[in-house]
Amino acid sequence: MATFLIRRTIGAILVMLAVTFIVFLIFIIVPGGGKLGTAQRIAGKNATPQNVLNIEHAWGFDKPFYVQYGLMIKRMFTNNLVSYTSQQPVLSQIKQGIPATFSLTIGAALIWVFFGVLVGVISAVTAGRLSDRLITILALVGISMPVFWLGLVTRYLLAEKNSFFPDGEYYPLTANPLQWAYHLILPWLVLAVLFIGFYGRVLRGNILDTINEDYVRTAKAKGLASRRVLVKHVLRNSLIPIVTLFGLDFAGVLGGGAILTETVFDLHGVGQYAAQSINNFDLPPIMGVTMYGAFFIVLFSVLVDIFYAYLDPRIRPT
Amino acid sequence: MAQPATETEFTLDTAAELAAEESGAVIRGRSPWYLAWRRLRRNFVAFAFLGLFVLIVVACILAPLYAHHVAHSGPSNEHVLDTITVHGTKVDVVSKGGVLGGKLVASTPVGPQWFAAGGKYVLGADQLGRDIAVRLLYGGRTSLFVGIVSSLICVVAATILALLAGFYGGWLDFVITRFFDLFYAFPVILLGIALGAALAINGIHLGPIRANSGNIMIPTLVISYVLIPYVGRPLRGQVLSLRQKEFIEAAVAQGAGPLRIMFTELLPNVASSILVFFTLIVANNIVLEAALSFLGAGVQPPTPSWGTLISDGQGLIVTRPWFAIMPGLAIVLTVLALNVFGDGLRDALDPRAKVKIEH
Repeated sequence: MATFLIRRTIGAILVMLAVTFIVFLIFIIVPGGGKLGTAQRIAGKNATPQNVLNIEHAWGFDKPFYVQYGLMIKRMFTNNLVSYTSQQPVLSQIKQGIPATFSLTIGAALIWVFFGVLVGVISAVTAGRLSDRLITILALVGISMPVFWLGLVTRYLLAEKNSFFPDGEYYPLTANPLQWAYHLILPWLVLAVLFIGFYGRVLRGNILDTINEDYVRTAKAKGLASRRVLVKHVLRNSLIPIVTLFGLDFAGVLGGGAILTETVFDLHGVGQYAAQSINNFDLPPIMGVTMYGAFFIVLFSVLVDIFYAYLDPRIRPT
Repeated sequence: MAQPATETEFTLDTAAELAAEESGAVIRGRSPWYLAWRRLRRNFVAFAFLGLFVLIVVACILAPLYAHHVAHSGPSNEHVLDTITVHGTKVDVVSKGGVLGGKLVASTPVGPQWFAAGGKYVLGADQLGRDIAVRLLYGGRTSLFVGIVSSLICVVAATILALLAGFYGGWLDFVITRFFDLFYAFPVILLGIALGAALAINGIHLGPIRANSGNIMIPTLVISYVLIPYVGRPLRGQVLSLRQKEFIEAAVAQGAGPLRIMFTELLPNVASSILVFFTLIVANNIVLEAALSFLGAGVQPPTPSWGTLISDGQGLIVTRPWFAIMPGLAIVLTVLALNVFGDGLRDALDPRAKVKIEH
C-alpha cells in the first residue's frame, strides 16, 4: 500500500507539472502575436500602452520562453496572479467563489446519483416495456439539452414569470440553511438533469449485462427472492463503473465544470468568476481558474484511487 | 461478458432463404456493412430522427432564400428606426425607450409576429432590429458548420493518433496515451473556454496558422482539439486488441508495411466505431459550440450562431422569452435527432451492444 501511495503521488505531481505547461502553452505560446501581442492579451482590452509595456517586462515576454514559463509559475504559486482589469488578486477571488461552487456541486451530485440509479434500475427492470421506452426517450432529451438554456428557461418560468423560487443569487449556508437550500433547488436540479439521463442509461446497460451472468442465474436457481438478487447481486456489480464515472464527473464539475449553471443562476461561484472575465477579455482569472481547477481534479483523482485501493486490494499493484 | 454473436439472425426473409438453400440455390455472401444496414433499416425511430436532422440542415442551407423572399432582410441588417405594418397599424420595430409618464421605459423590440407582418419578424426582432427568424437560420448554418467540421477534424486526428499508438506501441504509445490522459485533467468546457478566450482576443498567429479574432475556424479548431482524447482513448484500446489478432500477423507475414496494415487492415475494423463516434460527437460539439458562444469564448458577434442568439436573448428573457427559447429548441431538436440516430447506428453496427432481454 505504501509503494502504491508513493507511486500515485509522484505520478500526480508529474501530471500537475504538465498541467502548468499546458496552461502556459494555451495562454502564452499558442495564440502567438509576438511579445507585444502576448502582453496585450494578458493586459486586457482597456490597458494603456504603458500598462502593456509594464506587463511585457514583468512577465518577461521579451525573454526566452523558459524564462517566461518560470516567471508565470512563480507568479501563480506566490499568489501574484492579478487581474489587470479589476486589479484584484485572482486567488482571493477564487476563494470567495468556493462556497457557492461547492454547495452547487455537492447538492446536485446527491440528486443526480440518487435519481440516476433510480432511473437506471427502473428502466432495466422493465426493459422493453413502456416505462423503459419513456425513460429512454426522457434520458435522451435530458442529454440533448444545453444546460444553460435549460437553466435560462426554468429560471424564467419558475422564478421570473411566476415566483415559486428566488431569482438567482447565492445565499450563504452559514446565514440561513433554509434560504440556502431554497436558493439552490433550481440550480441543483438543472445541473443534475444531464447526469441523471447519462447515469440512467449507463446503469441500465450495466444491469442488463450483469443479469446474464452465471452467478445471477445461480442465485435465482437457489431460490433467492428476485428483489434480493437484484439489490445484492446485480446492482452491486453494476454500480462499479458508475462509481468510477462519478469520481471523474464530480471532480470535473467541482473543478470548473459548473460554469454554465453558475452563470445562468448568478451564483457568484468560481465558474462565474471565469465567465465574467471572458466578457472583459480578462485572461489572468481564466488562467487561474483553469490551472487551479485542473490541480483540484488531479488531487481528487488521487484520492479516489487511494479510496479504491483501500476498498479493492486487487488494483493496488497497478 | 458479452459473447460474440454467433446465433443465426431470424428475419422476415429467413424462411425464403432456407427454402432456397434446400432447392440447391447458392446463397450470396453478405458483408457486415450490408447486415448492419439491414438491421438499421428496420429501426424506424432512428430513421425518423435522421429525417428530422436532414430537415433542419436543409432549412439552414436555404436560409438565404428565406431572408430574400420572405423576411426581406439579411441576418445582419439593422432596422432600429424602421416600422412594420401589422393589421393596418404601424408598429416600431424597436420601441423608443426613455421617460414615459414619469417612468423609465427600456426600448423593446417587437415580439413574434408569426405571419401578421407578411413574413417579416416571424419570431420578432432583437435590440438592433434584426430579424430573429433569419438570424436563427443563419445561426444554424454556423452551428452546424462548427459542429460537423470540428467533429471531422477531431475524429480524423483521433483515429490517426489511435492507429499510431495501437500499432507501434512502445514509447510512441506511451507519449500519445499520456497526452490523452493529461487532457482528462481539465473539464472539457473549461479547456474550451481557456483556448477560446485566449484565441478570441487577437486571433491566432502561430507560424503558418493564422486566423483573425472573428474567424469561425477558431472555435471550430478549439472544439475539435478539446475532444480528441475522448475519441482517441477508446479507439486506441480497440486498435491495441486488434493488433494481437491473427489477421495482422498474416499481413505482417505477407510483407505488408506499417501504413498498409494501419489503413487497410486495422482501419476498416474500427470504421464502424468511428462512424458511431462521429455521429455522437457532432451532437456533442453542437452543444459545446453553443456553450462557448454563450459565454463569449466561441463564435464572436456579429456572426449569429445558436449559442450567441441565446446569449443575445438572455437580456430580453422577461419581455421577449421566445428570443432565447427558439435557438435552444433548435439545438435540442438537432442534438436529439443525432443522439437517437447515433444510438440506432450503434445498435445496428455492433450487435453485441444490443440489449438482451431475459425474463
